[in-house]
Amino acid sequence: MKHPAGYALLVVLFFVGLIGMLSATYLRHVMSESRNSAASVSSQDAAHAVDAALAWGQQAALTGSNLSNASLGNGRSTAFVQTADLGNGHRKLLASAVDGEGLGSTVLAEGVLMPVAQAGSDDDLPQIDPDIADEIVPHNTNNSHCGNHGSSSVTTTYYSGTQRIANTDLTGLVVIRNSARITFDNVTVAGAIVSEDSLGDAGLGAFNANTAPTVIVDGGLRVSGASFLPGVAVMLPDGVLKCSTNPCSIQLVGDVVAHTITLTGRGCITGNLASVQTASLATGIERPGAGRSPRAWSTALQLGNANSFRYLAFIPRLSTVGSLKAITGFKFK
Amino acid sequence: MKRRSAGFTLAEVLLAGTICAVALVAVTSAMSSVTTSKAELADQPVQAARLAQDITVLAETLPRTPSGTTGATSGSAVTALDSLHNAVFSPPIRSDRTADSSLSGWKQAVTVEIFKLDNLNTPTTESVSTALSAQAPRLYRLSVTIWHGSQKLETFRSWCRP
Repeated sequence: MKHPAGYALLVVLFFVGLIGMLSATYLRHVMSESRNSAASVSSQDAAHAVDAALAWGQQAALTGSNLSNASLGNGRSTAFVQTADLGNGHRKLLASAVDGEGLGSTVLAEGVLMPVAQAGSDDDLPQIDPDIADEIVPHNTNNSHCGNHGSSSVTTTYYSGTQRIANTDLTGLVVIRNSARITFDNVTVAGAIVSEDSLGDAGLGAFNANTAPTVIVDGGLRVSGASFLPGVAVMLPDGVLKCSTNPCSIQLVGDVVAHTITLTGRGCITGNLASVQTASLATGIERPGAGRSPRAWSTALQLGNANSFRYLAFIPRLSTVGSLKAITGFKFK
Repeated sequence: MKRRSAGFTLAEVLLAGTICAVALVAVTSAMSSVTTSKAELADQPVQAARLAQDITVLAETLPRTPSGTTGATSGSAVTALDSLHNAVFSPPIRSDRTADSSLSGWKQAVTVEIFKLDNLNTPTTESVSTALSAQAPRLYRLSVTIWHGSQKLETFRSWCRP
């Protein structure tokens, strides 16, 4: 077979060109992948920056500070966050971040501050609203050892020293004096048990085990709450609520706040718990509905400083006509 | 006139061979550089980001109560957030604290600093081994530097709450 002159050269050049095209295609693939990976990392970085902004926003809201906005970077992206107090413990957070590639992320969230189960100190626990305390505290608190002292509307019973109250039905407010150690045995309270200092305006200060008002359940105790202090069963932020060494039975209808809560035996608590020491509850004590969803705290309480975001709801942002045009008009490089 | 016989001339063969050799060397060299570039531009940044994210995710799950020991060098030594301060992991660790021995040559170097909420530019002088209240007006900043061999690739920063 006869080949024209230069045939071998043409064939070689063809294959060289083919290899060159394949190489160029691979090079373009590598460049494209590099750009994609850079964009991916950058976008991920912007999302992390938003997380950082949300962390700042939540912490700023928790501390109750007047900080309302900030910018913070994570080395590659810069995030901006704004917080706003919507009242009633509601906080709004708006966080956005843009990275060096122009990619960004924005979230809008609303959350509700709620007390955590464990606080740092007595003063961080939920407290009785001072206005409500003023209404229910008897005008004459200079009372004696024990007895009934009424305000205009609320029957109040003070206990002090070391006493054992047995087989008794009480109504109204049961006030436990400082240093008192009261043992309840087969007692019902159609009202609430509170410590004396929880009704005052002064701070509770450091916990003192020797002077702490102490409620000991020996046998049975039922506290059913009352309208003058709605949703509150036991309010001993500077005191102790515990069971004796004998098996006890409790039924507490309302929120329970104490420095130390140690309950053995059986029964149920229908309300929130807050304490400084980690609460110790026997498995026989049921808490209907606890953990299923946030349970509202009593409206008679100020919720203290030991708050946390009970939930953070992320709200979809509505696109405006302008932003939609910008999105649809965007040209990829 | 003498008739030309079928086949290639010596000049054609020599020229074609030379072109083939030059092209082969050029393509081999280019492919080698492209492969290196791919590793540097595409694979390493993604790997570095993933290794940094592992530390960030781990930090979110760690107890804030200080362990009192910093400078962890293995996942099992990480028991609290302060364990990550001045920690170096080589081979790197995953977010579940297990070592990723398939990434030999990679290294995570971590530092933890404390910042006031109203000053996110300058860290405080507080020690990370000092307990902070959950309500403290502070944020922790994690800086995770990723190394590949002797090459420092990137430092990633993230912030987390007390």
